[in-house]
Amino acid sequence: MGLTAYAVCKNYGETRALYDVDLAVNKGEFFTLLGPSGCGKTTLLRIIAGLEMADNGRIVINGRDFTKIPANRRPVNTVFQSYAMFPHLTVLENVCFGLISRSIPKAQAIEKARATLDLVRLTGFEDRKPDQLSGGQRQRVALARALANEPEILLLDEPMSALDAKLRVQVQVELRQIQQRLEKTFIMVTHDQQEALTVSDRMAVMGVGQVAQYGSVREVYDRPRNRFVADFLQTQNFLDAERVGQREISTNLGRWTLGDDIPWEKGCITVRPEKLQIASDASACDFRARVNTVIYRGCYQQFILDNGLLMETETVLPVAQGDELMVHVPKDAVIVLHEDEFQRMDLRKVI
Amino acid sequence: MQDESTERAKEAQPIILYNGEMVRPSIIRARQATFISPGILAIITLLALPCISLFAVAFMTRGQYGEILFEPTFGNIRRLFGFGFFGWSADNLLILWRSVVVAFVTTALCIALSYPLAFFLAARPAKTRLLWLTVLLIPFWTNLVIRTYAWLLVFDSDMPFARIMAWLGLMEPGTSAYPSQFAVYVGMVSVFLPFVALPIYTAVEKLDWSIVEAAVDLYSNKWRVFRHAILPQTLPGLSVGITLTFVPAMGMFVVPDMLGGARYMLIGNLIQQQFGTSRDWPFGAALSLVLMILTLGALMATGGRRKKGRA
Repeated sequence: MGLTAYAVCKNYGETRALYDVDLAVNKGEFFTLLGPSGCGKTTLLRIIAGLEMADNGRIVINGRDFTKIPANRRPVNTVFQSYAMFPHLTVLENVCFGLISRSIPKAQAIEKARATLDLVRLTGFEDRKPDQLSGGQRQRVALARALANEPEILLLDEPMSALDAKLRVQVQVELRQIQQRLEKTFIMVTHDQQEALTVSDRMAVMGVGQVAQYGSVREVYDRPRNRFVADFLQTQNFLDAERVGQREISTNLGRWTLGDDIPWEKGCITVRPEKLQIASDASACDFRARVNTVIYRGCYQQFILDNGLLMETETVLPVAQGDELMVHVPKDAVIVLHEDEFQRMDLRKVI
Repeated sequence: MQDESTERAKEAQPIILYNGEMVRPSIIRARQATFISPGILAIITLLALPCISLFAVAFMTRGQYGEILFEPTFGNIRRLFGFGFFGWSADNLLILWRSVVVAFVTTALCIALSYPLAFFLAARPAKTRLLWLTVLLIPFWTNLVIRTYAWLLVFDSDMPFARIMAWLGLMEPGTSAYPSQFAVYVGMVSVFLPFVALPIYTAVEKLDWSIVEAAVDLYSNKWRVFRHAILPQTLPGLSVGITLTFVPAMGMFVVPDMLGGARYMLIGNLIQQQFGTSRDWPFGAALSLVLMILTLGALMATGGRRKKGRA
């Protein structure tokens, strides 16, 4: 159950923001819409929130059709990118706002607000005004303000874009913990793949107005479906290849045997830099290459090879510029990319 | 000995780097004073002095031929509160009360019209918006007397407005829509609308819509969205509009004089009468003084609220 969106379309004049997007989010999961800016992920989130209406398609939340129902009567709440605090109200009044709107008795609303502020560890800040809070505190007030209403789905629109890098990591973990404790459905929009991987159960990578791939975070990270997703998730090394056997390809670096079937005659493969290994002996060597550049990264090391590939080693090895390496490509490291750009979600399977 | 004291003076007045030169703070202050002194001089001679003289004249006596006699008296103030030659009358207080009511209602009407107008303007695409703004400003650029005469024409008995009203049975056939309270309000609102609409429009243009969306997202009805998302954000513009309207509306005399007739007198008309036809400057000054006190009160009330809103 959770949320189902059927064939959502949205145009802004001539520009297509969303083209026939299907989406299914299970109840109680943390789902992330990941994509570059301008891919329509925020538009999709706003359509789910009811802040914008789809030109076509349906939005179903927990089995009820909410397509035509305005935002103030939907059981969803949003954490806005700018937090959108009411500047004239105190923290407590901000958190109470949605409860008071729904005519919940004041005493009860305050009690609920205090409990939610406790959840986000902001006890003692009740009487502050938003401009007396730090960015991180404001973000937590925004989260509490949405959560206090006990929405069926919590929507988060790039909630961490205004935080500095260190705080962001901390908040990501906290957000994940809160979601797991409450067992609520969270849908987050972000362009940061690290953030998506850290917090979500499943995610959808969006291209221009369409879903390029969806699946569990591991699935998507380990097996990006096409060039666009692989590029966005920074697999780095792309090679043109030709099929020479059932599971054998030929690239300009030699013939490799793969673990997957190959769906094309001529296509593209990719290998993550950290999956390439230094071969222990000549029999395991898949190709030889000279090191053009050595990049020291502290806990790991990167080599740029003379054939253009990027390689990463976990330990810092005594390799110098100009050394020749024997490189081993493990069978399951090679990702075969599909040629299609977009994947349609099979809604029956997910539900 | 002397060296020591000059040394100490230098210590008290360190030389600092200011705008790329090394100077003493006292020199900077002296220079700043020379720059602002023409402005201060203008305020003193053109604003403060006339007001002080007005205050003085308010407590003097009118001579037989309208000249000012330097005989201190509270007669003007007594007369203002209705203690006249023929016993007590409520006329002056009524005029004062009426002025406050007219200014208040005018301001309220302007605010009520300005919000929809401001949102309408802000929603126009950039090109047509300029056109609409010009339409709003054209009356603003036209002389007040000419504009008020234009309203006389519109409200004349032969013009469509009066005819339609007569046909609807809301007016006597053959009469014009002025002088009347209605005509005064139409005239007043047309004068002051841009003063309220433009500051509110500026505030609406800069509106943070995500706060409006947050209010909607948090189950607000229309009133709650206005009260908590729009009003706090437009409050600066609104209070400017109120100040720019309420204060001059209380002293307005051209519009009520032409559209309201002799029986619908406001304090502005009364003051004008004292300085003009009646040649009773001390009484006029006393009336002006009361008007100034009332405006000051209104300013302090809105100013106080603004401060509270910010805290």
